[in-house]
Amino acid sequence: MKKTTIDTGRRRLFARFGLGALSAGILSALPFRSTAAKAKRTGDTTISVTIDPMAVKRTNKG
Amino acid sequence: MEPSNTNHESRYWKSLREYHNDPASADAKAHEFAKGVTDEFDVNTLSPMSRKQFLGALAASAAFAAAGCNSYRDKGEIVPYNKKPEEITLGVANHYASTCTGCAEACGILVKTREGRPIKVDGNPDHPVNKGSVCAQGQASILNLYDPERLKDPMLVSSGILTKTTWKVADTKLIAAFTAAANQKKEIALITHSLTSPSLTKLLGEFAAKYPGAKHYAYELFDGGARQSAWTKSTGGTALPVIAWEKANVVLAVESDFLGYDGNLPEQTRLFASRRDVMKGKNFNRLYSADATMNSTAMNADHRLRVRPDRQLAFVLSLLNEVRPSAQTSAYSLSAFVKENGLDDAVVKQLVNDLKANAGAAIVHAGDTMPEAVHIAVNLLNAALGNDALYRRDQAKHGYAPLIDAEQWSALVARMNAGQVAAVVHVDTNPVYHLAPDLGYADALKKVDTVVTLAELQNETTAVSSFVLPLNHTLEGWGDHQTRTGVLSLQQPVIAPLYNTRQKEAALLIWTAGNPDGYNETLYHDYVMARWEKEVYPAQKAKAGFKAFWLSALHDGVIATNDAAPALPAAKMDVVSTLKNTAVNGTVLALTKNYFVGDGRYANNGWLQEMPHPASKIAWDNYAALSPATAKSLGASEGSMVSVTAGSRSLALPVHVQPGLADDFVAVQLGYGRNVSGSVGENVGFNASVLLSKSDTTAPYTVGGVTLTLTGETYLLASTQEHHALDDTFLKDIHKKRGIIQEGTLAQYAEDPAFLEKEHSDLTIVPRVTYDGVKWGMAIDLNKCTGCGVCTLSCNAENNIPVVGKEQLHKGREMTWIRIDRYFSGEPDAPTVSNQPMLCQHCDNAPCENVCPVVATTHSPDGLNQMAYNRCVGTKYCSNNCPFKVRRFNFFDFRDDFAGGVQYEEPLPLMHNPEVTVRSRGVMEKCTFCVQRIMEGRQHAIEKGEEFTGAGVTVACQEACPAEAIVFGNVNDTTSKIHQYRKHSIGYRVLEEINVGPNVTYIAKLRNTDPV
Amino acid sequence: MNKSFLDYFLKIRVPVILFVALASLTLTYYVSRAERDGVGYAPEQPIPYSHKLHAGTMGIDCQYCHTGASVSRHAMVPPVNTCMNCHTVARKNKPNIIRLTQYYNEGKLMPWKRVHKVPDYAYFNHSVHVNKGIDCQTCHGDIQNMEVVQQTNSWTMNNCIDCHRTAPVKLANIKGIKKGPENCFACHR
Repeated sequence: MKKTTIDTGRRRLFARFGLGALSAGILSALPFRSTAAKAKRTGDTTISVTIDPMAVKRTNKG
Repeated sequence: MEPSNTNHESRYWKSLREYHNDPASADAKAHEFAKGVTDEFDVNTLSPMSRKQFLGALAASAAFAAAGCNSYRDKGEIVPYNKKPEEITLGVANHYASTCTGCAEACGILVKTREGRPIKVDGNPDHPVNKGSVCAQGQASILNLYDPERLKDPMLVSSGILTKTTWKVADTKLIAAFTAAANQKKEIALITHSLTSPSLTKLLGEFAAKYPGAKHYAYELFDGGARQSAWTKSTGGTALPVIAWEKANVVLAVESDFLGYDGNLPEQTRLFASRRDVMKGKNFNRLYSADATMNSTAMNADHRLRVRPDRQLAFVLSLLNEVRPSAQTSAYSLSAFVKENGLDDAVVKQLVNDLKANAGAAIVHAGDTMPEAVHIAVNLLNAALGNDALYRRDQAKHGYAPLIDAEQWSALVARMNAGQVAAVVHVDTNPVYHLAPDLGYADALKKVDTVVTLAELQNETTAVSSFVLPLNHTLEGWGDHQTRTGVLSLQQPVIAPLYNTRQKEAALLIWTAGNPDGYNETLYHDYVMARWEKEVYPAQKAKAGFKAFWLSALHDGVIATNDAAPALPAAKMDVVSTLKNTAVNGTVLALTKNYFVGDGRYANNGWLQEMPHPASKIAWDNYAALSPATAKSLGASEGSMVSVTAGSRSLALPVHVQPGLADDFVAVQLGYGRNVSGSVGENVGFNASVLLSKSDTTAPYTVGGVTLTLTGETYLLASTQEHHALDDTFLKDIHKKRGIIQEGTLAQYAEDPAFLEKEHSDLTIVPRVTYDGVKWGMAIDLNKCTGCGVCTLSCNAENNIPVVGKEQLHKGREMTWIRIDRYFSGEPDAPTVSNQPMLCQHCDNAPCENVCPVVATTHSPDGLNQMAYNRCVGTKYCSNNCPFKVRRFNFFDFRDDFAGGVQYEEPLPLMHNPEVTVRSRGVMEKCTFCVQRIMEGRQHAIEKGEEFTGAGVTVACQEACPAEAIVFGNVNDTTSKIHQYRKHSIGYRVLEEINVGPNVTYIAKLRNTDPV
Repeated sequence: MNKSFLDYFLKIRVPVILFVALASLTLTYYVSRAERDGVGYAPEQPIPYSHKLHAGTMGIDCQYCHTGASVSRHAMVPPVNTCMNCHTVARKNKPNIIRLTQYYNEGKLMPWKRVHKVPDYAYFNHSVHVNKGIDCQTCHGDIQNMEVVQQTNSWTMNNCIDCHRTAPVKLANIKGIKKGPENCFACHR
């Protein structure tokens, strides 16, 4: 069979596309937050959501 | 030498050496590698595995890894409460009544909470003043609770910098400082904003009793002091009257923004709009606005007169002279005034006739920025016309402490400089930012030993304080408030304090008691409750015991009290002789209120900063507004930097060409240019406080002798609407040509109710879908809509709308699902303004649905245009096709993109409505007609086993609108309000001729220009 | 030349195509097996709570613990204090109950392994299903016979829509039941 060689320009193109496809695949498989521009910041204070026991809630919306 | 050609075959050679049959080349051919290349290569050190074996091992290990991956089924954990609070049912919202403390109006609010977290603030329907709605600032106040940049711990200055400390340390030091001050007979200045709370007033009295020398000062950036002192001077009375706006046939607004923030916006808008109801016949009121600033009221006026603030006194006095000629007012001739100021004579004549014909059923109202003299003149004019019949006899305004004026400020500063003031306590106030710089307040503070500031966020005053104490947000605290006689409302916390903060009242209680260890969470609650038991409950003559009464009061949020409105004294007409004409020549500057950031306190609130100004549609900035004529004569265009100079005071800020503004006049909003705030609010806009002066005591917000000089620079003002020349031939009145805005006059409507030509096309090539069950529709009554924008803020809170910031807003990427479009028509100098809330029309033949390549947007059987975020790939074809341009695309994850991702910082995500998806990058979103509320309505109907008719479902914008301009419901339900609105003779659809079948009916605005 | 083309075609192209087709089918099948959706998933729980004992043998109503089922979108996993309603007294000496009581007394959060989860973009509403008369076992299987809770449904949209479309047939025991909604907004917002 006739031996075929891929010329340099096209080889570079394939390499680029392949790299692009691979990185797209990897990035889409990774969890979004790890590559986000700014990672979510958690403060050093823990927030606790507590209801004031003396508050009176509405039974009707009015 | 010639190569030997023995076989008549061509011989190929790779090198000259070979060509010449050099024996070295033959040797090189025999060896694969050149000498020296493989010196380090040792066959014995190679891996025993062959290439084939290696590939095999690779494949096998991959297969094993894949097989071992069985944790894809792991769904994490589901963690219930340990001890569930009884009142919480997961997924069901609770409501609490409370009071908003965003301004001095103290509107009653109803707070919606989910799993203990407040997520929405609405008006309390039981509160007689605001009756179920709040202003835009009230709606957006929820964001302030969860602001990540809130102060979390007390701080005190130690070796020059603010360092974290504990309350106990701070309290101990402060109690010592106050005691020392009292002993040295020095003053302790307590600086607050308007007092609305009887309990706090009592508490301040107790503090002063404990520390003699303690003095209380109440101030506002826009102090209503002028109105108050004017009332006293005109009538001798102290309690300001409450106006029955709904009874007024004619309203004359004298630089008054009563449909904006001059007074109680929800109440005034509701009452005014009730007299512009097409469903109730043709008994419309008529609104005249005499103003220079093109405020919200001016934009809604039937007739507008451009009168500069310095000329207002002459205007009102000349009207008074027309209505009731007297020797004292004879100098003020109305016809001369009209000629001098270029007013429309016909309009002024009609105004006078209207006032006379409706004497006793009309009202003249002056705005908060007007000086005392104008207020006196207005009071006298109302008295002359008998309009005091419109002052309510059953209710008056109720205040607790008079606001201090510039004179008192100067005196305090002098005492501070003289070292007579040992301590200054800023109780949730920011005078370093608010006060005129020439008062020298910031410098005077340096001479005070103990400067304490209690605040929620850092501000210009905390930056120069020695103690910074963090405060509870409104929603975290207790209180009681009274702004009207006969109405007392309660404030209760809907969440326990998120941080190490305290209520300002609790801090004062500790200092009064003198015991730094005495703090507990219920301190102020107990105080208020005790006061109620002693002072409020006995007068109630309630049938139940105090405990039951207290709980029921907390449940309702508001009670009626027996304090009667004081009798209304008559006006003293001869006061008029004390008034002196204030007209000046040259350019006049007005320092005005802004619409959304208040006195600057909401600078760090992204939703409010992003809300465009009603007239200019500019957000994230303030500007120097100039009329087209003034701008042209100055050579300024939109964005040119101009230096506004008044004497020694000067500020450079960008020009905005505002159609409708008065000539030779510049208007600048206060409340911007904060330089110490959070990451959202810092350095947004220009601080116009530098233009205030302590010597401007008669008219603090109107500055004469102003010069405008172009600096040559330009500035980008981000606006949500096109700013093109109003007389651009292509664009002129395009909203009317295209039928986006259809309007008429009341006279036209009275003559022929069907005067609106409506294009109706039933042409279709696809079979029309019939909706037999529930079909949702909306109607927006443009007669009632004032363009206040509360609907937008309510939608923002309900639907987790992100803030995008100035840069993105400039590119048209603001994410609000409902917006107020503002159109000008007529002459640029005095245009007619039309406001139109625009949202997804949920078209029957939606052009967006047809073009989505992934079928992410479809139509529901109940008439909604559906949006499935998880299907959307972000082609944006749908938004391209939308003729109303209501689809918003998430070009970025705006929460991540804006201000360094502050919207993802804890605890802001707690604010999100759990029933609405938080959208990320790449998806299209738009108004859903609050599908989460519709589904909740369906759920309730199924729970009760009833057929779902759609009654009782309210959408966020509809619920919030103070004017009740938005109507929503099931159009197939013949008993519903929407059914009536849809077939109203002056109801029309926008761009109806393109046959997309929108389901939002707009009731055409009828301007009451001529007598019917 | 022709001969070698056919040769190339048969020796290279056809096997490659066949291989790709077979590999895709195998992979897709593997990925879409019911087990992939979690059917049969029965994780070990921190405390071996037995529905068979409580709901089955003792006949405690589902909604005694899962109180949200008829009033809210979420049926709710019961808070620890619900368990303590009985277990402050019942079998309080058994080791698991002692562990449970420890959780309660220390205020520790009980990390149950989640078995039933519909993705976040689907807003499932328990209340409308329960109030239409659909009983828990329809979707959750015979919970009252399970020692360890097992997922019996694949919770794919296909599965939900299937039942919505055939409700009058599938749930014929419920009088007057109509087809469930098929429009996007019914579940996705």
